[in-house]
Amino acid sequence: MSLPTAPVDERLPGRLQATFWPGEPVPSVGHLALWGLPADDLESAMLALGFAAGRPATLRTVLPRTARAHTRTAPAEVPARLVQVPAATASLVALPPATDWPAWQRPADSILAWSLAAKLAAELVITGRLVPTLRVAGPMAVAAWRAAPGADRRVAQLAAAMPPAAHALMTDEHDAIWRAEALLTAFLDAVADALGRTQTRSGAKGRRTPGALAASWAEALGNSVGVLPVPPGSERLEAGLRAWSAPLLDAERQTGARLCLRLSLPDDPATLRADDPAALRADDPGSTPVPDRHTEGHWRLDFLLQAADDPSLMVPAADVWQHTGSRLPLGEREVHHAQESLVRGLAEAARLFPPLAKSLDQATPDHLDLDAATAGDLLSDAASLTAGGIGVLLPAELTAGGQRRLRARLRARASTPAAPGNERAGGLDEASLAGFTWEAALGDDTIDPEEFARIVALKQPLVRWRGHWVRVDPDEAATLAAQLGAAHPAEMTEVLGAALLGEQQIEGLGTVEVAAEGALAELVARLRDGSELTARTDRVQATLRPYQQRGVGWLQTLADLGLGGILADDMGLGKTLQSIALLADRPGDRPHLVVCPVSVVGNWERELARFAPDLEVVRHHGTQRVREPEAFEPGRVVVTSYGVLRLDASLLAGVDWDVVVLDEAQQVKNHLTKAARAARGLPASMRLALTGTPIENRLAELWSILDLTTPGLLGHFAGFRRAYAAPIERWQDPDATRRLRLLTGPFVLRRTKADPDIAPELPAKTEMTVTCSLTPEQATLYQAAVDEALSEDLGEGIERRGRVLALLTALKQICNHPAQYLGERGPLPGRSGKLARTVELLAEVVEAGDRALIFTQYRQMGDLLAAHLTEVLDLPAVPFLHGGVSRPAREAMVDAFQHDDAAPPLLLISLKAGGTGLNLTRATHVLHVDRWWNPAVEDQATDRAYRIGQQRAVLVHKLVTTGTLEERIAAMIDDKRALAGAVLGEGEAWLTELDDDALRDLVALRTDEVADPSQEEVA
Amino acid sequence: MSGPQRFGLTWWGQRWIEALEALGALYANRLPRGRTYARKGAVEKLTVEPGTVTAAVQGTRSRPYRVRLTLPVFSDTEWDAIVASLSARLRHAAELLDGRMPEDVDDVLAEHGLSLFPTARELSTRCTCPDVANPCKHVAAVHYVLAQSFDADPFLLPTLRGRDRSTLLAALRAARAGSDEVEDVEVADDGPLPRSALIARELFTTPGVLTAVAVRPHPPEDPGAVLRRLGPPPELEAAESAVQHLLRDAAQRAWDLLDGDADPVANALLRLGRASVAQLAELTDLPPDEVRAELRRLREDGRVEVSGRGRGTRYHLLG
Repeated sequence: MSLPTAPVDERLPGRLQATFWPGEPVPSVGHLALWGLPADDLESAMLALGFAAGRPATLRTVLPRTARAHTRTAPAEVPARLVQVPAATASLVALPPATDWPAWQRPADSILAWSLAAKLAAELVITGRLVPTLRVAGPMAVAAWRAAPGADRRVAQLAAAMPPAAHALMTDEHDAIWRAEALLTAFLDAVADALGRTQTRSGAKGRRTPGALAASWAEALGNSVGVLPVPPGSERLEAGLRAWSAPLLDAERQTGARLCLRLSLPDDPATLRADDPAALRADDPGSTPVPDRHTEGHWRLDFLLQAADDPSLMVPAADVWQHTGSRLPLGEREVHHAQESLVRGLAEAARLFPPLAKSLDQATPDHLDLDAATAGDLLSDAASLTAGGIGVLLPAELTAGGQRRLRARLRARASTPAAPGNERAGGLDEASLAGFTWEAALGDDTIDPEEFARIVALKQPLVRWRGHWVRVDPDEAATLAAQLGAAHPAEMTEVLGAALLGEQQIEGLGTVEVAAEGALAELVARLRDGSELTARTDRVQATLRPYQQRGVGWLQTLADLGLGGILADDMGLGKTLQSIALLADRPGDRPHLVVCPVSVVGNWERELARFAPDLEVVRHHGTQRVREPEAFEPGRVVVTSYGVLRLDASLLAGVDWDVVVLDEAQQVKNHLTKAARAARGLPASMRLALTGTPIENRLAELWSILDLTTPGLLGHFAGFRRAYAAPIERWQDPDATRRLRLLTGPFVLRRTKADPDIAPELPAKTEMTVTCSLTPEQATLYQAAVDEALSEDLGEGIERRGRVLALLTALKQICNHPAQYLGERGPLPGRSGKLARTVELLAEVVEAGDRALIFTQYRQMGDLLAAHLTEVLDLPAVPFLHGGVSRPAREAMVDAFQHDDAAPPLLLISLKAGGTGLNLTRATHVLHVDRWWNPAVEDQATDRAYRIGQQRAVLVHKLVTTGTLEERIAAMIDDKRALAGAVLGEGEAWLTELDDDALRDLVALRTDEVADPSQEEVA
Repeated sequence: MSGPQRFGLTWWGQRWIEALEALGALYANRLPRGRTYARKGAVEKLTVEPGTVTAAVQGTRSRPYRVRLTLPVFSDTEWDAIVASLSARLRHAAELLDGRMPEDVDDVLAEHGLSLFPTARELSTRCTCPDVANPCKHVAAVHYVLAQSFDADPFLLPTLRGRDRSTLLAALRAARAGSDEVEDVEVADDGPLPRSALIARELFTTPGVLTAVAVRPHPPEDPGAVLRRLGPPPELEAAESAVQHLLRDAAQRAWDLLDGDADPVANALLRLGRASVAQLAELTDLPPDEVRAELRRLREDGRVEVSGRGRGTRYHLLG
């Protein structure tokens, strides 16, 4: 044991860790110990994860023996902060689940493990799985709560998944730590105890109970202190309570099985007898409903033993009674003390459903016969039995979602008068007559009010009707009676949503079935069936890939129906092209509006001109824009920015638009912003939102955008949050996910580059020019630099060459960022259109979980970008690989980018340093921030990502500032005639060979391309 | 509030005391003294085995007196008959499993002419003290302490008669199954985890799959049902409704905590301890005005207290 041990600070993991530190004698006085960093760094790391500062302490735990040790560990006393259980629980449950964090922000496994434990403990408390205890500890007695997870296998699962750091609390006696399961159990107890103590100082008084001891015990359980004087006979009390709660604390866990009660219908073939009077009536159609009088004893309640963690595994009680020995095979597992589980289960169930007491007088009961009234009682008590942890199997048709139940149903309708000559015949618009009507249903049949009244008048929970037993819930029937026949008009999209879902949540009735009829039923069928999506693409000048054809077909179907939607394809899949194909095919009786970030206004104009040259484009942007609605002639496409939309909200709201396209719709993801409100105010037959971010993971965003495109579909935000956002985002609830997909599926189309349907259709490498505009500051600097350089003679030979190169360099720097040109360090935001566009693009890349290489020629620009991207995208320090970086450091950067999930997904590379020799195939995006006027050099750089080993399609984005020399040189490069290899062979020298006029033309500023930042917050 | 210590609070403990008092009618003054002895803890090393109870009682001398009670155990045939009768009613097995002695257990035994409680003739006692009275105060003291033990573990009664808890339960199980084959379950016992089992490079990463553990809470429905299944807590029956209240409050609080947005400002205060409006606005993503309005509401409810003034104003939760 004389091996040297390195100082503690060197051996700390460098990331915040959590270890539970149990407290005595009241469990909730325990602490969560947070550690893993030097003492001074703990508080800020804790604050970043939402933990209170806690108090400093020293934790006895285990660390690697040295910083590099692979195997050997050593005990260590590390600096820690202790947070009390109640506060720690609140912080832990607020942490998003492991899957929601980008790898570089994800907390350590030990913190995620305790976060899960806290959520599990809270869930146990919600389901009432906690028991009160009494224990003598020294001079006082302690009243405390303990968690009773019973046979819940998640406890063992979680214990098995805990990293040692989570439970590496050294024990007092040995060179040993707590076992995960023991510490987890102590933690669950502590959280249950903390949550059980709900009484504020004033609260307890009103609930004094008779019996002094019982009262002081109950009070000590509820208050924050938890102690009471030692009562007489405390040992016996303790033992009595222990025995009382043993079924929950110990027995369930040890057996892993529970009682299950299975109710069978009297007329089930299994129990039907020929002499059964009920059977004789069974085929008598149209018979009046009769209460049960003749079938006493024919409802059969069977007793079974059921695996606690797999309800499908069951053994009939008769087999359990016959089984000798203490282990009963059940599926692939063994149940311990099977008979005792059954005995206890029946005795306990009898407390929740008293008719079972009859069975307790028998030696080996295996079922109980019930009359209809008692069977009805069981149906009402089923919820309590289930909540109490007893399995209940009811005939499916009698349960809440079942058919043999007198239940409320909403009939949904949306009738559109077929207007002759209406282009959108068969579709629906806001004028449609839409709404719901209440009706009563049994099976598939609608019950008329007279019959409904007859059934309800029997006042029986179970009634025979047309040869079947049917259930009548008296409360539900009373609620329905008051509503029957009532009609409620509703928004078209609300009715459509309910029809798509097939159900609606109604206060007091819960989930109510929705039946669609007529035109609405046809519409639902058409929206669900995607097989007939054929696109009309005659009027678009482009060859669409098959998936784009499908996308256009989908857009056109929605437009034909007068409905909006979200096209959320990955960046680079051609959202703009698909939208243009939609616009090109519209009838042209009204104008269209495209709203986009100012940085892509020019891009939209160019793409519209290229793909749909017949469409007339009106730019509604800049100070010269028209203010009269008359300018927006039918058939024209008006392109504007979100900034102008906000400024000209009332002007634009006064136009009857056909299609409104909201590009980069994440800009309106907050429904409270002015831009979002203005967008909602635009009257249109279709609103189409485009976004490349994975909105399926951000439901608040999805709601906001769908609220613009398809208002009313998802209802109010609060209800949406409760029904979908919280269950899906926090708990990955599969049922809520399924329902949301059912509801939104027809209105959201998202394909990713990795989709197996899409990937084969994509070229391995797609190059695209990304245009951006100058800010006024950039424009002023640009004009001044041009004026100064061209005001005097450029000279001859080497002198001329030097001056021209200096001018070109200055202009490129200005296009990059004024700070680069002026040699400043900042501030950066709002001063460069190119920086704004770069950030927008990379934000999308990062959101989508992709990786990108960013090339620049300039060391200074790289430094500015590295700092800026790190800050605005909330990443760990973005590395910059340039000539000054040592070889080992370069290798480390490349290695991290290729292999480390926790490394930033962006790598900046200087074109000269990184153009060759690197293998960076993990990148699927390549950004050229500034242009090297030699395509061969750019291609070489691009090949870092696009080379052997690359499995996915690579997108190459080349940023070009419009109105400047960048745009004109790009055009020259793209123009095959200018690409005489000899001229381009040597870098940028060929540019200096231009004569004065050509040079003047090359560098001149076209001022109409300048963006006004007062109309847009540029990132 | 600790009153005089009482013995034999459960009915079976009480029965034992009654049996003793019937025996001791002759020497009535020994009983109160024995009770005093029992109360001051004079009885030590009490052991209950089939047929015998032994204990040491600290009397007036320095060396404790040794007390030995004997009573006959039931024969195997007798036990078989008892088990057959008990197993005919599931209620008896259920109560025994819950640690309670069925109140009518002696009725069942009476069918066979037996009783768990001793008759005068069955019980013989011996004490090393010089007192000729039987029971002497030492024997009486042991009886009282024994009654207390029966309160805590009713299975001591059948143990004394020849069947301990696990044997009796196994026999009941076998009787229901129509066979006497009995199998024992071993209980795994694991102490702390030796540090030598840990590997340095695996200290901080999960050895399993954390995402495989699914937590999917729903709003509370009937959180009291689980405990209602057990019936009222023994001897604390009067607390049942208060406990049910606490369970409902706890479930609602746990749900609010998980739901996050239900009570965002209170939750943020719980996490931060003392906090300013600006800190709360940052953590909850709410506008400061809304945070202030919420704080006003919480203060009116008496849940939040304020300290400091102006820029130094801080809020914290009560209780």
